[in-house]
Amino acid sequence: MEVILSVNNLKAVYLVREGTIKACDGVCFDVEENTVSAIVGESASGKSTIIEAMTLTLPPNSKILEGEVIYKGKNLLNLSEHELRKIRWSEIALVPQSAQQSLNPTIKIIDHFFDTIYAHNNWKNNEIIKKAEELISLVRLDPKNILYSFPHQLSGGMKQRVLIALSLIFNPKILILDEPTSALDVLTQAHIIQLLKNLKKEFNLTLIFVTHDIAVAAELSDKIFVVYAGNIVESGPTREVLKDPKHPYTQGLVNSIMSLTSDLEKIKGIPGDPPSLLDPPSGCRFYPRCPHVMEECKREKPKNYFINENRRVACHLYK
Amino acid sequence: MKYILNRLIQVFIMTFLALTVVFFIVQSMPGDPAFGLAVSIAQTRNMSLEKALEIAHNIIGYNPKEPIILKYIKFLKNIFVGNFGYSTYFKTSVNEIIGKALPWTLFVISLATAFGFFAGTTLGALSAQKRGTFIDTFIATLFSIIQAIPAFVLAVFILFIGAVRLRLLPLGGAYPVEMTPGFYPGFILALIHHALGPLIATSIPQMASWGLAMRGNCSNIIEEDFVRFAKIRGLSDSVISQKYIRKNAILPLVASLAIGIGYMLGGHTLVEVIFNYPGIGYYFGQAISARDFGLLTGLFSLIVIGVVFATFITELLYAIIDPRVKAQ
Ligand SMILES: Nc1ncnc2c1ncn2[C@@H]1O[C@H](COP(=O)(O)OP(=O)(O)O)[C@@H](O)[C@H]1O
Ligand code: SF4
Ligand SMILES: [Mg+2]
Repeated sequence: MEVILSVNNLKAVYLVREGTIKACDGVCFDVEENTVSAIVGESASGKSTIIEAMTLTLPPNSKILEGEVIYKGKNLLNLSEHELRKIRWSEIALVPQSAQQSLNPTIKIIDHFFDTIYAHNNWKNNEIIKKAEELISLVRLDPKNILYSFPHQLSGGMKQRVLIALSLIFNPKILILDEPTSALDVLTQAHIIQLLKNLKKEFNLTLIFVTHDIAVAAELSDKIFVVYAGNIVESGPTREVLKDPKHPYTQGLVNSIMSLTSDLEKIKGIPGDPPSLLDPPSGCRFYPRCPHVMEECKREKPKNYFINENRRVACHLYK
Repeated sequence: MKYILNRLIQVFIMTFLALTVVFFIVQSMPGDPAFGLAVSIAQTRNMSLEKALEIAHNIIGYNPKEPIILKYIKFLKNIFVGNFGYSTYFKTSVNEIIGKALPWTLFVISLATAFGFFAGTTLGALSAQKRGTFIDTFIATLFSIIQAIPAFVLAVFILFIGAVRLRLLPLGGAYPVEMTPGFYPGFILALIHHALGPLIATSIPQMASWGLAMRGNCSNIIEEDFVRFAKIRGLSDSVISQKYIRKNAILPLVASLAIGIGYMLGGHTLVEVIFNYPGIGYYFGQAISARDFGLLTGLFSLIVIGVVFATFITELLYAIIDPRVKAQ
């Protein structure tokens, strides 16, 4: 399959009073067309930072230090604001993590469609309304009702669906979703997962989504990227990685999953705590917690080693 | 509907309590409320003060031997039917004075509020959106300084510069005495000219306080996720600024406009006294210096009722314009 988006050595930091938070530290990964990729990791491991750096939507106190994000032969990081705005949303759409607060409380849902479409095209008003109705139906909501409501009148699941509908306006090639199922109850989560599966087929979407729930990743994704402390430590086909994890961190995670919960927030399988990203450990960032730690792990940051042509692990054990 | 009814009952109780406080404060002031009137009657009709006092009591409907509770009930009854009492100093009903003075006060404070609100919110939003730049520092510092200056100091300053030094502003009145009031350009111009001093003195502090409030609201809203999401969707800066930031920041302020006007009924007093502008505040000042208890009670009651109702209207307005509150 063809690679549609390629991220190479992406480094981004947040500037804070105490120094720099190295939340995305040399991230590399490829996304193939028409696949679903899951970025998993504990909270504060840098998942959002990775996708926001990729799409140049980081908050103002951040800085991208180096790297490239290749889309259609162009490095997004080098595009002008104008060129980027043409691509963002019409070709690459991003639904941020805070779905519950992402709609303007003082305007109706339909106005969000108007504003978004006006920003890119000059469609006629009735075309916009038709499109909005179509998309709202597509995410299994009642357009007559929803479009003329204010955000606070909708439930959490409804808001998430509205955001997804907004993201589909221009038939984007790539849809990136940050924690689309967190903050929702289990039943609503299942509905959203089913919806994403259907939309992926219907729109030929390439989906990239962030989650801290391994079960959601297992259910929805073809490929998984495991993030630890600002690094992707392991990647590969979801099924293979979960069945036979190679990186000591992934192993710890997978082994500690009991049938009851797969939510990384609730699992306490690996002794110790994730490191501070303000002053992360030298070498392998996992070494203070790693059962296989070696001398060189403390000095040298492990490269990405290929296990087979699809699987990659950043660990000195696989040299 | 039920909510409005509930609030109305509360408004009623609040008005009642406030009027009670007004009544007893003025009652507890020393002196006979008819004394001033009696003195002038005694002089003009050449009779004894005692006799004059009796006549004066009759005129204002005041009986010193009447138990205070009866006076209180009478006062409430009068207010309820819209009778604000009698002014011993001006020798006329307080209603007549209110009728003469209130339009001027409302004229000045509504214009001043309109200008102060518009200028304040525009500059406040600009300041927040240019956070950290020279413009922001300038506006924020200026507004904070203005807010720290007492209103009457500013008024005296404007009077001194505008009327005394530059001779651009008149020294008092709502219009020149030699002019006949009417709806013609010359008169309207004269009206504005005479209102200019109080107008500036009232609108500048208003601009500063609306401005600082708007700046605070905007700075918070700029950080909201829905603003970020609007940027991600590629919305232009001007749409984000108007529809996403300013609209959300200004709604709570629009609602407090009514309350602002209510409070200004009373707060405007000193400015009117300084500019000799014949509004409610001016008569309030006169009532105090002449110990005209009737006028004092009447105007006080008017202000209290104004503030309570303005608060009520503010809440209603807020519920109507802000979809977030409407839900509750
Ligand atoms: N705007 C910001 N300013 C400073 N630090 C931030 C900011 N956003 C995130 N961080 C920090 O960066 C790290 C990674 O955050 P994030 O990418 O949001 O993690 P995740 O999405 O995996 O929960 C965390 O330590 C977080 O505290
Ligand atoms: S590189 Fe070393 S410390 Fe890091 S995970 Fe591998 S073995 Fe453990
Ligand atoms: Mg996140």
